[in-house]
Amino acid sequence: MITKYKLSVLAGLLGASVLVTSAYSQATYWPSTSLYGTPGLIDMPTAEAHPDAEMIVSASRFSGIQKNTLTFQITPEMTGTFRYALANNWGTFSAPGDDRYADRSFDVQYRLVEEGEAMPAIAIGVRDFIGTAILGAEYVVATKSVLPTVKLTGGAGWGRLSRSDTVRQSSVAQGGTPNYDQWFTGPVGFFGGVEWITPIENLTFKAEYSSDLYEREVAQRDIFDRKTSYNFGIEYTPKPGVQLGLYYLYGSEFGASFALSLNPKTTPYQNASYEGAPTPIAPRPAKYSTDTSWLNIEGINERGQDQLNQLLNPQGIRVESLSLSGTRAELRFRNNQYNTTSQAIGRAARAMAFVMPDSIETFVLTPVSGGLPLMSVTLARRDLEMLENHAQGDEIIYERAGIAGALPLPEGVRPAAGLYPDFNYTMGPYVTLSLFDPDEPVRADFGFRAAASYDLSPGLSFSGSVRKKLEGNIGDAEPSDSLLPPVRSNAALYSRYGDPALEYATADYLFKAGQDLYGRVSVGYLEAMFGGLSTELLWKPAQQNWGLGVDLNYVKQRDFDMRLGFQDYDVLTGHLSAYFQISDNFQAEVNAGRYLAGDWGSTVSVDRVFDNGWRVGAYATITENSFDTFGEGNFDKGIRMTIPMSWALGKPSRRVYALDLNSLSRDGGARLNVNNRLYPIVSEYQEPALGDGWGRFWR
Amino acid sequence: MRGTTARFLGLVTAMALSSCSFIAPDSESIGGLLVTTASGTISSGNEKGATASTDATAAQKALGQIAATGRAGLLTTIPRLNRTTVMMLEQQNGQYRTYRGTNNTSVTLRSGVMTATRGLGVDLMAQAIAQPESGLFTTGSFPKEVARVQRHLDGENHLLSAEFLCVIERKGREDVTIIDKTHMTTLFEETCRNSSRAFLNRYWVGTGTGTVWQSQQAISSASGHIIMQYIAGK
Repeated sequence: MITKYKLSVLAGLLGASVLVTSAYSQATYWPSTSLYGTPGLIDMPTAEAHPDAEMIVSASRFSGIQKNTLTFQITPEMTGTFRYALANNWGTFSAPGDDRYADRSFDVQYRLVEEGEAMPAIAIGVRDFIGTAILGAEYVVATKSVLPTVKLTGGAGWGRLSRSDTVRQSSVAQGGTPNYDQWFTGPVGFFGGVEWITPIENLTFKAEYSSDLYEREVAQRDIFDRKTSYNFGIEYTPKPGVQLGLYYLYGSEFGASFALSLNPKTTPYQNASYEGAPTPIAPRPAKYSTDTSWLNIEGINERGQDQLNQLLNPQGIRVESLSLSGTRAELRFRNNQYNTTSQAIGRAARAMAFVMPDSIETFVLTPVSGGLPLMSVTLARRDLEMLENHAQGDEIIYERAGIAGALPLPEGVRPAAGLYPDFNYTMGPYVTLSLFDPDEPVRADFGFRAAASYDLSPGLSFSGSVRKKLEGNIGDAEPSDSLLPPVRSNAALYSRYGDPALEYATADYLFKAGQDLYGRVSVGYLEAMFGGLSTELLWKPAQQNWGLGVDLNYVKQRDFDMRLGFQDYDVLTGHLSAYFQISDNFQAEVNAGRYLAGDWGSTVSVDRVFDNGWRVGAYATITENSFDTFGEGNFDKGIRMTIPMSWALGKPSRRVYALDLNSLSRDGGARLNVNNRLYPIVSEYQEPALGDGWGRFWR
Repeated sequence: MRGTTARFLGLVTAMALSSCSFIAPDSESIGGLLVTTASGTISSGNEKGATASTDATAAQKALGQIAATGRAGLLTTIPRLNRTTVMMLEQQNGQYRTYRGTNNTSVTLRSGVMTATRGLGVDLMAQAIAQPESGLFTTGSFPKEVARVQRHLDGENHLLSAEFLCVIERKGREDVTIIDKTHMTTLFEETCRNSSRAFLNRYWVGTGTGTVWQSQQAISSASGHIIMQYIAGK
């Protein structure tokens, strides 16, 4: 199973900044980034779109207004932006006595028309459409390259961009709800500008006419003096994917920006991977023997396992079991190294071709994860021999491979000797973040963590994790003021009193309940805040691109000291889940059921999925609770990201970094955070992920 | 499933594979390492110790191994990756010979023309030439045009195909000395181009034998080219 390391957002962004230079080496075109972190001039948008899947992390500041932004090119046409903005001298927006405001916002821009020889690019966009609407604006904008070094932009804006005293207001004070009825209404303002790539290498000059009167900042709060509508700036791009900007704004202010860009489609190592070469196919002679008398050799199965392990262990693959007949060999194996299943299958198949007697014509390879056999690939040995060096060998072997649910283990076959029991442990530092609290936008704990697992037999394991906090301030946050049972909002108390803490201690049993039916039973201290019994079933045929699941859990809330005791609160919680592929690049998940606070509702998640293991997605949960009952943000929502370490390191690895830019820890729509959920384990080895990554079969 | 393969690819690879046949030993056995008694015959290239980077001492040691085992080998240098490696013949599948380096990298050659690499960054995953490699330098008149397809993985594990039109020219006699042996060779230069990339391959081909004793061949635009010198086995 993939090990997930929840790292801090800051660490992730820092890592991204280290990687960005080399990741962007293939850049051919990079629209510049505005103070809003979106494709734009200085303070105004342009109609440009970044290359598909481009991700830009940026920070800008002028007159005490700071915007930290993550922009993602969701599709070639659609740009999505998440922003965390801070402003000084704001008054009492956040809390009494606090003169700073801190606010999250989301933007979407859609390119309606791609730039042509005569036609400009045309885009439509909405800013801060689901937050407090403090930055709320809508616009239609066109951009055209009139010379190789000159781009012109002009547009019409509403809300903030209307060149009027219009201010967008969220329908509820704490934001979180789209204000459809306000969009593209009211006065219209016009803006425009020019971007000139100067003869000085990597230096761009910008000038714009802004239609943002900064009504809230200037008229209502006197934060700065807006003397003109003209802004000027220079931007320097020392390396592709890095942008530094200096600006003179509104006739009175200086500003600066910094932007980094990377693309999940391009590794920092220029798509390189430096794993060792695989075992080449050892072909049988043209007149090979079909004699099967070797089956009578004593210990032949054990010898086969040993020889396969000699070849495969250095490649991170371990034999789980081997079944031999005169013409057929079935190998079950664990893949501890490759995040692309096809690569593990390809390497195991080549090792079999090296080891197996000539009479064996059929190889069956079954990857096993967590004791679960997840699917079987049947390959003709002759195909491996013929196609190893074929220029289309990848496509042909895929077409000829028999891909099906895991074939049952032949009678009498046992797990390889020495596999069970299996004890593993890890130790290392940890960082936990708490983000977006208006009183303190970033809080963190850090310390030391030790985790261990003990696999007793296939599917049955015991695991646990303890941590010791060394320093941190998450515990300084205020205790819950929630109107709901405080199932998540007392995170500060868990941090304050849980030192040292038992993070989880569970017994887990993963099993096959039918041909395409997988099951899990977990009991113990399931997560930091809840313990009890968790059960799950998943139906997912290997060749199908969708699956259905159900989980049912009875849990009690743990004591704040995160040791062995429980509080009085208990709840029966569970969901029906559907997982499906929307298109080649997008997957969706819907969970409907009862959440930890006893509230009924559903969660919808959509992820852009990359065939190298990257995932970038968003989720939202709506439950029966009113927005007022939920509290700030109105409902649970967030952005999540999974970064495969193989992409970052250029070496095979199954480790991933999982980042979650979520809402505050509120109590509505909170789901049990149990380990070993089945769909991620199972789907990694099945279609469509298997075929999508098949290009590495011969790697 | 993955990126589409050019129509052209099928034609070229079909032509390339039409001459492929397995070289089989005459003797008949039940085959496979599993039933052999020599448990030590698993390739040394797969042993953990073989992943160490190569230095001059290791190279000398490997050259000694080539001499001792009688297996053919390659002296290879990849300037862009700053790697110099000795590779020994590890496996032969039909006319394709795979050599593995002491640093656990490999190249596969067909009649001296590189068809694949592994472990060299952006690897050449596969290659097809619209004419059997065995006659590339020994048949026909020069200069001659040959179509070629190279396949590389992109950052999303999709196999991409790039088609090239290559022109092979005979440049003349140019002998090559490998370690302490001098071979009479003819230098051929192959210029390959498409709309986005061009590269130059050089082959020093043995006079009368057709053996490619030395070559400089493109891996990928990111990894550059590899220089190989062939050491015949016994």
